[in-house]
Amino acid sequence: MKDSNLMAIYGHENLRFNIGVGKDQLAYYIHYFFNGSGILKDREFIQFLFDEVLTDEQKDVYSSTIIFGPFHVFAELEDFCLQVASFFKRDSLLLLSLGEFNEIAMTVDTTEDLFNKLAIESRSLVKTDDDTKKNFFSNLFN
Amino acid sequence: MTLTTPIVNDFDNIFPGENWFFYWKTASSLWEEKLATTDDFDSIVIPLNWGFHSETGDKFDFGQDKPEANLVKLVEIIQKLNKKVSFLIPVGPAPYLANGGIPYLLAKEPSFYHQQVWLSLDGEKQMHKMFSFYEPKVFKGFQKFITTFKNYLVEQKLQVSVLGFSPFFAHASKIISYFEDSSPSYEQAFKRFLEGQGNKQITLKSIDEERIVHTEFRRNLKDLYEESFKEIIGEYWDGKLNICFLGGSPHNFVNRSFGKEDELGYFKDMLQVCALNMLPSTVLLGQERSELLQDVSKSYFVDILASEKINENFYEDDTPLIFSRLNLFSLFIQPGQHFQAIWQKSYSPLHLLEQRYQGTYLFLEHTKEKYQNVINDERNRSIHFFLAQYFDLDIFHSIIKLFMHGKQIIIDINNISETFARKLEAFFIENKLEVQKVNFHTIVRSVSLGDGQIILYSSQPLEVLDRKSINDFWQKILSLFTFKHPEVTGDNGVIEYWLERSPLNSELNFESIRRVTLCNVVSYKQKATIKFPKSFLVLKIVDEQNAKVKIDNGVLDIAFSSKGSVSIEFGFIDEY
Repeated sequence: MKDSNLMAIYGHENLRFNIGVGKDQLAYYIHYFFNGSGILKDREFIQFLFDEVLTDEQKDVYSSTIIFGPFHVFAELEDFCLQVASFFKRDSLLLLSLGEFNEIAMTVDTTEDLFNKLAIESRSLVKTDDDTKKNFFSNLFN
Repeated sequence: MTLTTPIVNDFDNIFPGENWFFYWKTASSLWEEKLATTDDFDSIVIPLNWGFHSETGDKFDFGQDKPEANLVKLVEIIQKLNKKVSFLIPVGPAPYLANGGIPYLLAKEPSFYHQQVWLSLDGEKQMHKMFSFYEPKVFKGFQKFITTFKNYLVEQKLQVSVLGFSPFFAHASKIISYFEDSSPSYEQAFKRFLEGQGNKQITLKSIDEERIVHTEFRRNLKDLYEESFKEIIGEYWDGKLNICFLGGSPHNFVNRSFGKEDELGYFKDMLQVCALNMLPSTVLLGQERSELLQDVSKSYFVDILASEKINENFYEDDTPLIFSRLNLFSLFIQPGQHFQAIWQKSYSPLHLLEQRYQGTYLFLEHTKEKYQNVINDERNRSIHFFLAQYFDLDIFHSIIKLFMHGKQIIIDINNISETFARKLEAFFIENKLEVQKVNFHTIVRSVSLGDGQIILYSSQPLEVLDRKSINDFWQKILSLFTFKHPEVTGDNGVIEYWLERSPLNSELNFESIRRVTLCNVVSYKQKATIKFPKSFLVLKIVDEQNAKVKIDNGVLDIAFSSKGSVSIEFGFIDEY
């Protein structure tokens, strides 16, 4: 994995009851943002997330578990990822689901192989002009 | 990218921390030579590696094929070196072992944490995958292994003790068991559990209710492993430990894969682990841990073993100056209960304790024996926090006994049952105790008898207060007690931990001797200040490393350079 790569690993949780009654409600969460130096956790980034991006509901989840979410629509998650990419002055972000992460993890024996393979297998989420225009952080893109 | 390739340091790989000896990592012909280098260790821990003794889970090798599996030889060498031997057996996935310790052929179903495959990195940066302990074959295999090991001990007439341990890791201010598995194996086992209760049509009214059932099931299964282990190992059983592996969380895995170690985080995790009377372990960190972290972890390891009455002479020490942890506060938890659920609410006193009294509080699991120990300990001047909503008769009687023996108690009466509310009032009336009352954010009542004091309050009105007001509230409440402690303020990278010992004959002016160790765990300069009241006298300043201390009129100013540390001993006089 290159130093310049920015990667997000997301999972989803079916907020139904495993047993008994309950309605189906899918929610997406981002478990990590990391680059070649580890998980993104610098103070400015956290401040950025708390002040500008995260809703109150998301802040609660973030505070207790350090995961990002819930996103009830996948497009919201993608949009959020692009905003994070912009904050770090990247044009793209590598996106991978936990399921894909797990599959790769079970086939490799070293962390080097793991993260290199994750970078190869992930989907590159690229910022488009439309994203720039519609985004409520448009000033960050300029 | 900096995927670290560590420089091979044989000693660290074989002795990864806390006197653990990884016997499978070195040739048996070198055991004696290696063990002889550990002069400062009087006791050696042998963490048993199930997967090393069996690949299939059916056949076992204790030296018949691999010389490094010969435990008789290992024990003989250690005993010849006049050291004690304790076998340590993981009752759950062990993050420092390949497959979490499970034999190769049994390691079929991966274990998941929050939908993610459990991965860990050991001290040599080897990646390990954890496998589910919810698989019936794993449980049967575990029983078979313990049975075979026990028979081996009996046949070989080995004089050793055997400890079991539950593995944990720290993540986002929580201490989490490696049994928190959400794999398909877990789901199937959970389904079998429900069916086994003859309740296939179970309906749960809320997600919270479902979580409770899941928690209960996980606890049941963990208990099943532990009880089975204890029963099989029989007379060799020497106790059960809870060990938290620093650097073992999924986030740590990612960061450590890129060579990023979070020393400050490890220290903070360690303080929290110790507050739960769990043992911190640095064995996953290998060469990346600092000496400071290793030393502090080892001293906690020793102290907690002693306080749990397990292997009290684990490390023999010639010096009479034995310090133990200073516990100014204890917060009640029910056995098996997560402290987070009840003590991390916004209005909890825990936030003030974390901020102002770092390393001086303990979560105390309620058992009659533990609270009887507190009652018997005349030197125990801790302030004991209780939550009335969890009262049962045992807890209620413990509180009354504590109070009658001069202990200091704070009770949140929010959601107290009518029965116990009446019992409490009846106790005050029957003993003609005067109840003083004040309205300070909430109704606070105080009852005294001799040295004993009970403060009653309801947390409900506190829920609307901000963090500063909550901390001010708790500071005021604590000031009601005859309670003295130096005030430490420091930069973010400074960690403090407190120890205490009885005075020597030459120190009888003092009630006790308190020692604070301050460490700068970051690589840049940090400062700290200690303001100490008249009841504290600075006796000595020891182990100054990369630290300069100035003392002036009741204030110690400490300037640390990179990774600096210092210990300061205070004599405590209770008369002021």
